[in-house]
Amino acid sequence: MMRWGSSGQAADSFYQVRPDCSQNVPSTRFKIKVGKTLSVRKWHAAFTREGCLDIASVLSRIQRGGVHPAIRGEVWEFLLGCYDPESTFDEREQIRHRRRMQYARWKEECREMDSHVGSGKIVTAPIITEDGVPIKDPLVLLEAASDTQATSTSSSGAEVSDSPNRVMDKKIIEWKLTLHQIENLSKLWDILAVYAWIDKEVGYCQGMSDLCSPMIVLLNDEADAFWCFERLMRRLRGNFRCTQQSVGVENQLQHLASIIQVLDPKLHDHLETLGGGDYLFAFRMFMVLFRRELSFGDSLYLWEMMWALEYDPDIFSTYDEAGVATHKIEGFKPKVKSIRQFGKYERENMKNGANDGDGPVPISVFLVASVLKENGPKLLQEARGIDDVIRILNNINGDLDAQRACAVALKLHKKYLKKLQGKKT
Amino acid sequence: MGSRSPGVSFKLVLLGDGRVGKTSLVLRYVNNIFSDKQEATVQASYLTKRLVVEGVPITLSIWDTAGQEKFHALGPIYYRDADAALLVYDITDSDTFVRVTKWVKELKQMASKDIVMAIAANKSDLVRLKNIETQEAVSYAESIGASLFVTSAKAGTGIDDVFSDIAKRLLEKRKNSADGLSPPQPKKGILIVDDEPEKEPPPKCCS
Repeated sequence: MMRWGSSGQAADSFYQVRPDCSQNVPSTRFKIKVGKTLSVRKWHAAFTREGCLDIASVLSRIQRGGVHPAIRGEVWEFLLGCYDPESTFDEREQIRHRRRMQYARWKEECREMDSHVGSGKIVTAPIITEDGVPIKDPLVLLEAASDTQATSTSSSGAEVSDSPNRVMDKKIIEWKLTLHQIENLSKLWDILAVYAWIDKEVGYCQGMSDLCSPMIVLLNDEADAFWCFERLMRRLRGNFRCTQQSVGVENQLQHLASIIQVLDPKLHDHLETLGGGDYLFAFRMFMVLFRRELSFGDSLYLWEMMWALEYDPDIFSTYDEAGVATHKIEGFKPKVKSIRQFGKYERENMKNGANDGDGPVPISVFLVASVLKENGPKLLQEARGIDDVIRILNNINGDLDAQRACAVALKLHKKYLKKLQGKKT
Repeated sequence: MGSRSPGVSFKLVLLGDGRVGKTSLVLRYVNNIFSDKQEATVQASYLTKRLVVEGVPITLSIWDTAGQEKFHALGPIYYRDADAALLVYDITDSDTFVRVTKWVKELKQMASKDIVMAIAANKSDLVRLKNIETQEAVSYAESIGASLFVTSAKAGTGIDDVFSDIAKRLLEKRKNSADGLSPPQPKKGILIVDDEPEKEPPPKCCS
């Protein structure tokens, strides 16, 4: 539907679609709206001369209308906790420099173990056996450094090499065994390969590329993109720790179950009758944060709204203290911050003491709840089996309204906390 | 059941390791497209294909699953009620064949009914030189009562064959069970004694 007046500027033009991929690309609903979207001017005005950022004013804009595509990368670095808003330009420049060096060192370490890293080439077949014997001539996809995609495959029957260069280090074997599983875009491949090396517990898991690719689009420097991705993984890495018996998002699925049970018992009962009481059908929405349910532009919009709503001003120091790739330490609060520096969702949680116990429920749980609520009538009427549930949810493909989903999620969150309070008293 | 579409409908699930080409096979089969940059499946996606086998219209509901070992725990929700499984491996990667054998074991143990299986040895376009060594795979397929098809989603070869093989066998199975077993007969040796008057009607009508 076209609206007159404040319809805003479309944002699709900021992100180029490869000509060979132009089919079936869902269009973006997100519009740059004057007075709502965080504009370039407003962003620059939010810094002091030394470079301290007034995060509160920035958050309130993002929560209302997202971020202008021209500044998305730099804004995200703050939202994800790469930098402390109270730091100065100089301090951040130092951190950036240090991190770029660190990334270069890790990448070099990886390149020394496998020369495909950083070469613009990627491997698409195993390069090593489980006992550490290198496989001669694995299938390697050449990806031209430019975007011309001159791909050619050098292939032959993969043979286990006779050379004595058997790898003995289990960690290296494990890492090498994951390499051919990573998706095939060279920059993405490099970043994910390095990540798999520094976070061995998680390694590589399908879906991580969905989370990493926007960083590459938004941040020109590969190292900067890596660090944004690494910070995002701090929030989400638990999701990717799947075992043979369980999935990493189980905890969130349980929260989702209890939320739907409280807010829409009819829907919950229906899902339970269909054999969906475990809510596993919502798995994908958690794993890739609605990337598949939204157009590219809209998922960026939804993500930045989520992170703004969840923003905790101590995010930088908690991550920095905790070191590389470990869980956020609960209860670590170095400096008392004004309430305005927290995101709206986080504030609501603090007000209601909802952060006690197991820690906060991520807003994504309420977003999924909002998707289920919105599709509730359809699920109740049409779903006769769990297959139908998955099918109905899969059909959302690129069609979710980010703004609306966020608004509904916040409403459900409030309602849920209220009901819980009611139960307590 | 069959009210949604005419003819018979079957549920087919694709299983196999990550990046062996399950999604590409399905997309080639259903939409006749192929992409070098097919994104990884997270969870599963669903497509349908209508075909006619021996004059009978068939609807295949195809569930394409996420293959990476990390997603293994999700498998049961897709194969639970499946009529057939297409097991896919990458012809250039023997580990992915091992994964197929693991799936077969699990299906035999866990799947609710006797499931029709076929194996696709995918990415045949990547093997240029030697003739493809599928002997081991062929005899394995035989041993589990499945057929093996060498496929290439990229070149579009072997794909129609594997799906129509599955469809044919499903139809055959359905016919056989329709000839012999429907209406469902009580197992031999169990005698239903009808002497007690019906106390209450069955709680639900589930025709």
